[in-house]
Amino acid sequence: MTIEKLSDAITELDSDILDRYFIMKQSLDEKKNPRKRTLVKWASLAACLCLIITAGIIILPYIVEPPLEGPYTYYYVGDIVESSLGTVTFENNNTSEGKCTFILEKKTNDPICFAFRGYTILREYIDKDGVALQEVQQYHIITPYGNYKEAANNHIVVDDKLIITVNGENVDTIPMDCGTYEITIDYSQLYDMLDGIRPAVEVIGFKKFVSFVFGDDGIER
Amino acid sequence: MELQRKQTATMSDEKIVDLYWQRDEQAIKETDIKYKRFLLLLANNIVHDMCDSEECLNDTYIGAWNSIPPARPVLLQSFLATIIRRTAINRFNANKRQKRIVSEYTVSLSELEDFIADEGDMNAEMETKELAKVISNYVRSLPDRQMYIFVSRYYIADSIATISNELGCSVSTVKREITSIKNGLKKHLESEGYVL
Repeated sequence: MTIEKLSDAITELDSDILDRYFIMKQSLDEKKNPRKRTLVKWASLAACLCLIITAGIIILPYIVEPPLEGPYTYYYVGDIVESSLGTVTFENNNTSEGKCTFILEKKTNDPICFAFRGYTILREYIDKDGVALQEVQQYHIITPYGNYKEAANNHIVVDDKLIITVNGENVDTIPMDCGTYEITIDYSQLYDMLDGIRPAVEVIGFKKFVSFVFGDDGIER
Repeated sequence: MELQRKQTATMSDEKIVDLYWQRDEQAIKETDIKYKRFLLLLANNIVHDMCDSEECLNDTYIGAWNSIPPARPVLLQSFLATIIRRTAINRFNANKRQKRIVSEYTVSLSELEDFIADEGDMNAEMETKELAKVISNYVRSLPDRQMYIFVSRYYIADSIATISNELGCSVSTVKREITSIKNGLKKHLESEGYVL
């Protein structure tokens, strides 16, 4: 054996040994360079935080029950509400008949709609703590309003269960033009459709979210 | 510019090898970005001349281009290291005929010379590859630290100071380990029938 033969043999070391060597070398380099590791660690944390924030921004609207904009404000029979849309007066409500009446003074041509919220019970069950719970499907039942269908998220939107009367005449939708309108909404079909109805009707528009409350017994407040 | 280069994200070995298989010359560029510094270091450890090291590097890229495919190395660094070591040793031997070269490679080899007999005692029947297998089996059996020292010293031809710095230990510790590795290699070769 010569030194040259030995050197040539070392050149032909099996590749798994070299692989093991380079993996160990990389590990040693990383230990030697804590600043690089720290930078990588903080960069990873920052990336995770951005991801969480972005996910929250995207997902949160689907978790929180949406108004289209702004908080709910509750009004009762006899209340008058002013907004950039105009003025809405809650004239009366008869829960047993399933009808409510509003006076709408429209100042703009912006579309608005009236929306009811309700639910059907999909199943009832007992959770691990012994609490009786219901799994429900939620609904928005609205006077026809294109944008609202897209904003309804996990609620099923229905726009043909309300019978709308404007100034004594049946119509398909709330008028767009400026003007004063007496609007009666017959929501009696919801009693057959749903297992429960929230005791409020919402007036939805671009500018403001208004919710008019009516009790089960239809008593004015 | 060097700082910018270091901060560039490098492609994975798998993707670079795919480029070779697609005969995309971007493979060479990506190989250069990822491994140039290491390959030059290895070559220079042997030939001790930067111009010769650059030529070895170019020969290595050609060798890789001609070998992949059919080869499909998993760890590209190991594959390239083998090519450039061969190339650099050939260049070293060619230069040696003309002049004496002092390099870490010759120093590391001289450490092994003390248990290698003269050329006249060479076992003619043992081929280089068989010897490589025997040595590989020995190195494979070493603990990580000693394996690392062996490859660093006798394959990469790193200096003892460099190895001690990488392992975070003293030079004297590395020297003691090298002595132990040499003694173990000698016993292993003798047990495999080599007359030393």
